[in-house]
Amino acid sequence: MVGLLLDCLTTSALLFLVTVGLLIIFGMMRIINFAHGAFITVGAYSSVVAGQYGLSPWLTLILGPLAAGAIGAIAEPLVLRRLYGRQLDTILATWGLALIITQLVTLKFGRGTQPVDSIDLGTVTVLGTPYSSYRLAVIPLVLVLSIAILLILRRTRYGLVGRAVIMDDDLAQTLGVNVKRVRFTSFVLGSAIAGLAGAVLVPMSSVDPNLGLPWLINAFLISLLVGVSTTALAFASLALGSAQVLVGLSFNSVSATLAIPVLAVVLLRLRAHGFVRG
Amino acid sequence: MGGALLAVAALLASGPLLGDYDRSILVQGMLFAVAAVTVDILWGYTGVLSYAQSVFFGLGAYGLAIYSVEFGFSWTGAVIAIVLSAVAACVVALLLGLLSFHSKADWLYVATVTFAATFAFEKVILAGGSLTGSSSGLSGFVLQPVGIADGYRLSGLLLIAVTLGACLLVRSDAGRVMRAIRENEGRSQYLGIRVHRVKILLFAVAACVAAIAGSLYATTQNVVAPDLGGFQLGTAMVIWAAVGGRGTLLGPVGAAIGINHLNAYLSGSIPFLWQLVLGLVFVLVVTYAPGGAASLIGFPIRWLQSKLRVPGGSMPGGLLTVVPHMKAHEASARTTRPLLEVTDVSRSFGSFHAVKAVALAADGGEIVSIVGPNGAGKSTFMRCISDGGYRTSGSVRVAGSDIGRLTPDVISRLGVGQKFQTASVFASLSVFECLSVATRARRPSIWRRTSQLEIPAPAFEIIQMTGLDRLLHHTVSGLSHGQKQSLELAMVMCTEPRVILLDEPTAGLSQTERAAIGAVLRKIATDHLALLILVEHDLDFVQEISSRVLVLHHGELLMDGTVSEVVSSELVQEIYTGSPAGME
Amino acid sequence: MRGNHRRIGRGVAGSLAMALLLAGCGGGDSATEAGAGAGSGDIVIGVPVGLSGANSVVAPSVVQASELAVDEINKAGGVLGRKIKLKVYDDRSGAEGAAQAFTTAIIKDKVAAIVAMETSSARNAGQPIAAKTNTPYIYTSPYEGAACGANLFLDGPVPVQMVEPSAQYFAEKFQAKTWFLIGSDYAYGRGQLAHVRSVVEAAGGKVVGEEYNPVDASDWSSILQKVRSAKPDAIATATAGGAPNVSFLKQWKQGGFEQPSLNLSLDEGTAETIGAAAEGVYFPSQYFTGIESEKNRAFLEALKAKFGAEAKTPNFLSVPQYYGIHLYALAVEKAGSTTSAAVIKALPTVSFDGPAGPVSMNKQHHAGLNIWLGQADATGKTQITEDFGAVDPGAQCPDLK
Repeated sequence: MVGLLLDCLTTSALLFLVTVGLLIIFGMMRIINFAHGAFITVGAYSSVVAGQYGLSPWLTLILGPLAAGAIGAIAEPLVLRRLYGRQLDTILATWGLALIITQLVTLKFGRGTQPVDSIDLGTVTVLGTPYSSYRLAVIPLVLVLSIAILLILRRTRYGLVGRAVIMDDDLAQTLGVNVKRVRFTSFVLGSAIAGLAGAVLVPMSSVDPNLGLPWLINAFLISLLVGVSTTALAFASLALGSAQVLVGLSFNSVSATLAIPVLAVVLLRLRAHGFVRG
Repeated sequence: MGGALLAVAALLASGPLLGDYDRSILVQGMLFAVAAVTVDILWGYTGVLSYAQSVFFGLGAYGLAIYSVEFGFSWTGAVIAIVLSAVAACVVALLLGLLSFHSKADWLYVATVTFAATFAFEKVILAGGSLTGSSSGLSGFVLQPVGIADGYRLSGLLLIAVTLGACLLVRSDAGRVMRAIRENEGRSQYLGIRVHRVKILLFAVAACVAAIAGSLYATTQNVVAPDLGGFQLGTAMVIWAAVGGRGTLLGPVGAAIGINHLNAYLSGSIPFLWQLVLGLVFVLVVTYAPGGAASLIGFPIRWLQSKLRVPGGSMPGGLLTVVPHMKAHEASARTTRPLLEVTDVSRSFGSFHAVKAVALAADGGEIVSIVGPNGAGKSTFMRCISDGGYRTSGSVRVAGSDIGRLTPDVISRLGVGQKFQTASVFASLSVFECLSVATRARRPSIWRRTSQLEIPAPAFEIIQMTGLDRLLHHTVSGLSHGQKQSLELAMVMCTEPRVILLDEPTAGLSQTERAAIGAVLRKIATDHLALLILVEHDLDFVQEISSRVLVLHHGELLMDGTVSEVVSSELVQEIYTGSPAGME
Repeated sequence: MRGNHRRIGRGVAGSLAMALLLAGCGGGDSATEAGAGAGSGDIVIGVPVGLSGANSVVAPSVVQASELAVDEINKAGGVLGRKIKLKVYDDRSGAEGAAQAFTTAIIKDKVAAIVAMETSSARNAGQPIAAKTNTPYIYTSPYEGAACGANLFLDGPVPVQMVEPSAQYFAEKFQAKTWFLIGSDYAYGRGQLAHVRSVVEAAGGKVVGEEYNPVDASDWSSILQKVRSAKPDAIATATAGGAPNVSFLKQWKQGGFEQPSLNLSLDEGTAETIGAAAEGVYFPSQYFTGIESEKNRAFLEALKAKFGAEAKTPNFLSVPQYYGIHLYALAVEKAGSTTSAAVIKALPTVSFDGPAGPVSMNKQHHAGLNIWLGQADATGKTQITEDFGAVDPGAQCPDLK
């Protein structure tokens, strides 16, 4: 029972983590970033590079976001900036970007699983149930991250301006807001958080060029569902993450992996604007 | 159509010239090209980005394979299997379509749901045990495999037939409707085109065609595997369409065949680099040359043609004519109820009430103007009449029937026409095509193209008066602002509405155009007994044509009276106090 | 070109012309190599392998093993006085690529035989093409069993060879009565675990849980949760190789489980890559680098001598490939010709003694193989803990002699 509860919480925390970067970009720019999975992969590969230079695996948590953010900072002016107002094309271009990043990673590191020194925290016993400490540690990490994002959105000038852009970017532009800079910041921030998610996933997954892929669909559907609100994302992650764990317990894992997409698609059909918008 | 004959000849002649190896790769390429054509029809022409065409291709392939494994392979069996799997693909497409195409889902939803469908397909196949062969796929089910030469002819003929069919479709009246939907979905809907139904139908037909290509793939390759329906092939199909040139049919066909061929030659020697190059080309095309290869190749050809064209030669597409309806307009049957009854309609955005309990009863022959300062809720009020899902509360009846929560296309068919505030037209269509899309006298043909159009008299008068009748061949994006406004109005009149909602019909028009439009509007009201509701800022124009004026302020109906009553009202003066420009 | 669609009808032929143009650049050289399979000149063996896709990780070691075998044969004077030549193709680790690769190899390049380590779907796609031309095809990967064809020979292990001795060993050594079986939901995973179940139940044990994750899934938390509540004595896993297995091992380790674990999809190289997360995990194989034999030492040295620093660690996928090439050469020698019919007749009768002991595909085109059990240590190195000796593949193709 305890294990089940912890599974629900940690699964939800991971869902939140892999989705929130996508959400920032979707919220500020109204585009679904199909390269999100590739940015997660880049974040994870920072652990490989860290290993090659003999750095501590903990540093990955900083290197991952830096690397992914840097690639985001290169891609935004080269590709995305030219496509504002052509949202459909942005989907295609970001998918192309994902192909490029994945192939570059493959060319550099090869197709296979990479050996990495990952963080090992062992297990703790929670109310009689042994549980992975690392998985548990994801929960506070996600809490800190979401508070940080909330503070950025509520308290900084970027957040204020960003919210103005969300409401009406034409208006924001006429009011002298540098929409270009807001979009750049959003893309880099979103990419960096994807990189962080990748770095966090390293101790739990195989570091290979397709690391980010399985997370994509769920992240896409959830961000469509919650729109721009981080609070709604927290709620949706908790609900859908728990649903996945419970379906996995009562049926089997194959239906569990379909639980989130099916639930999200149906919810979207019933309430096209998700939990918050409209 | 000569092109198609030529293509068949080229196909038959080229067969023996090519080696077995190239032919066997071309078989694959041509079947993929069929799928690419369906992507182009959906995305290039109708604006529906679907990643799921690989799912239907895979369904077709697996349908044939599973049928042959279970019941043994025979040619009759193969035909049954192809029909069955095409039907299955159709059903899946209808389900996906019902999920994806409705008033609340946007293109983003469609793209994401179809993307998810490719993943789901792979999962289902992998979990399918011995029925689907799981990760190993199924193979060797065609007992007497189709020879390479026959496979080449068969898939070539299918490709030519599908391309030809697609070609006829996109050039037909129905094709015009598809492009209208791509250009401006909202406008299409408010003209009474059942956009979602058209999309679902196209999606289902495209799924059928892709499934047939998939079945043929299974027959000629004698193998099916989960990746046939997976996301990689699904996205590859979109890439072919984009790189080849969306909305050109031939571009995607060429790209599918070409890229598949290069794939066969390059993936062995430089597998990852080749994928990288493909990704780079894709991004470059999308970002810098959205027209794809077809536009790059097409450019010099167009330039040459423009140089070689004899001045005053025949116009492309032949002679187009527009004539007014000859039949006399039947006056709408008089009922005891008023034509439009709006009861306590409200619309709120959260705690903000844009329209508060507005009521209006008006009859044919009236011209009602709605005035009020910016943000008074005038346009919001209009949308409450033309879109059943928009109002928060209250009821609207048109000619006695309650609009309930009906969508704009259905309401348009009840006889409500709306012209939007900013000219909303179909930018890449010609003037003639716009009018033809708007005229829904009959179901648009899926293979014939109208070149003579009968439109209602008011619409004819508008285009005649504004000189649009001399610009029938012109692409709309090149028209002046005033011309676009008039065209939109003419398009609305083509639907023969009885209740006509006009949001600033004279904005951007010259004084003479204004007077002319005013005359037409009056005539529509008196001769055709239509009800006109205008939102107008031009007080002179309002005074000139209105039979009645409503004053809205902060979403509330302040006054409902004749022109002179409103103009002399102190209340109205008060509202506009502090705004020296009067009612502007 | 949006909106400009008037010229479409005219140009349907254009696309075909484009196709013809593209086709023209590749068709030329097919004539020069025709007949390489029969008569004089080099004997060309086609090696389709996943240079891209999932198998690209192991492909280099497989290609090296093939090249080493060819070198050894040619240095010893070739076969029937002719040299053997390799031609490597990319099957993109899947059916679609394999169909292309086999067509190229057999129809365009007219290779004498195919010797290939591939995925099962690639084999299923390629075999009909090879069967149609009666081209000898030696498939060299472990697989789910019961693939049969007059021209098809298989020198890799089938599930029963790996599973039976290992599960019996677990039952004896750890007194494992209750088992939890975990796999990826695909033919190989389900097939392996079905064998484990039958061995466990035959020995009076009990399977307390059997769970499958989708093939591409990397989150095992809900299954681990079920293992935790079922408290089995031992677990057996048969996931898809690569990512699913690595993520399973990491999450198993993180979860602090202590049961002995039999992993039917692990190999030496992957264990080394994963490092500490694979500590203590048992896995059977028909080849380990640590096999103590003169032949194995010589094999390892020969690889090092030929490829130097570039040498890839040989493994359970590359060694059968090495055997496959040698077995083909022996069969040609014995048949006295490269004609398909003669070679196919000779193939089941020849035996090659290599790094993993003598191998002969004399059991209905399958091979009896020596199986060892290995265990990964904390550094990811594998120690051989048990030698099961030669294990029979059982009746895989009763219709073949």
